[in-house]
Amino acid sequence: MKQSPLRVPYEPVEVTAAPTANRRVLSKQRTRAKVLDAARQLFLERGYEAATVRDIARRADMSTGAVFANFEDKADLFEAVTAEDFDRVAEAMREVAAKPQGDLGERLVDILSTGYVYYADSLPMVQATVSQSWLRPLNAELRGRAALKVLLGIIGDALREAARRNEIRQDFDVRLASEMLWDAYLANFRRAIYDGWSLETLRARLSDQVDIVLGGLKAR
Amino acid sequence: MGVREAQKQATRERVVEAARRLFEEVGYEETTIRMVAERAGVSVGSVFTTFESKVDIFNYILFEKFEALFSELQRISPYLRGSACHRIASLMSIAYGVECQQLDLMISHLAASHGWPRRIEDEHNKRRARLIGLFRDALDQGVASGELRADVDLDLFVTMLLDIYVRNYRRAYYERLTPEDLSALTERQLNLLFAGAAAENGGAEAQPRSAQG
Repeated sequence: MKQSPLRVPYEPVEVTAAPTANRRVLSKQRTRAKVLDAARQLFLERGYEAATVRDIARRADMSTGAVFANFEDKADLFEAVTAEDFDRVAEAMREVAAKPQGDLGERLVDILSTGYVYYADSLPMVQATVSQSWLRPLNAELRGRAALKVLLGIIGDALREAARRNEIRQDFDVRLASEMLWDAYLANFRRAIYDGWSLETLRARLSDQVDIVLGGLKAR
Repeated sequence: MGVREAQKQATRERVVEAARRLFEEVGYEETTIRMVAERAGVSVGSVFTTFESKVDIFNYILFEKFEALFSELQRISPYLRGSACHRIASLMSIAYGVECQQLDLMISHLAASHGWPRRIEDEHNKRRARLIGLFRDALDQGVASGELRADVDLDLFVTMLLDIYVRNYRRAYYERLTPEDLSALTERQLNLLFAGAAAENGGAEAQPRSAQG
């Protein structure tokens, strides 16, 4: 029998304040942050394959054992680093989305190109992240998908709001349209890396792609 | 061909065949050059005299796979009827049917494509350009027949079609979509894109004109 496809609703995720942590928890968080910073540096400098947990531990100034007390393996570390990046990008995109300016096209370009700005100095990280994302096991994929849901939700909200303003038609598939915009945004990274695109080129390209998708959403 | 050349060619074929089986059985990522050498019955050194690296062997296999798929698409292309949107959706649907039989290999290919060497990227782009050319022919015909507006940036449009086509393999893999599901999804995606490129009253998918029109 055919498995039914996984459907994830796009709902805004509620952010609650973290409870006051005790000293032990704080110390553990600090260690974790230190390891993540070191890991990010090494993944960026050497790439995923060449970076070793031993080198990451050395860079963080701690033992390999201490690293393994916090993370299962290199893949786990990498996932944590990329998840942190993802959260930061989502935060930046949400901030841009909260200050509505211009028409829908301009807003979408502003929101999405926040990601280009964030990764401008760490494009190899994006390559590694996308590459790994094609290979990760299902449970990691589900975690990645939950993070993506937040970003797609930001795009979806902008689309829904424009539909309310009658800027685009009312009867469209928000998920389909959001994912198509996301795919275009993501595909551009690859060309930016191989063809050495600047931020301006990336943004201009994205803007043209957004126009094409919106053309479909404006057709009545 | 000299004896030396013939020997080199024979080694090459054995290496490719061994790699093809290993990629299928244990996966591209898990396969090592040592394993390939063992299966092919040659030394690790011999593998490296015919191929620079594992990704190089992979690229060779992808090249052969692409040639088979592309000639099939090219053969069928002239027989497709209907709107440009419909014809391109049909081409993608045929490709999904073929590639989904070896979905793991396709996923490894897409993972490896992020970060492989420039030289392989250039070859990959040549293959990509041929696929784009096939889609582009359908778009050009759509413009000629008045189905699509003449002012659409077809170069950009066609790369967006290809990006959608490729990203959908991810959905096929993780959401366990069948080639049929994938074709249905692609049709919805393409309908959305083509709605924005459609000429006001042209083409097969245009609304019938009302009586007072």
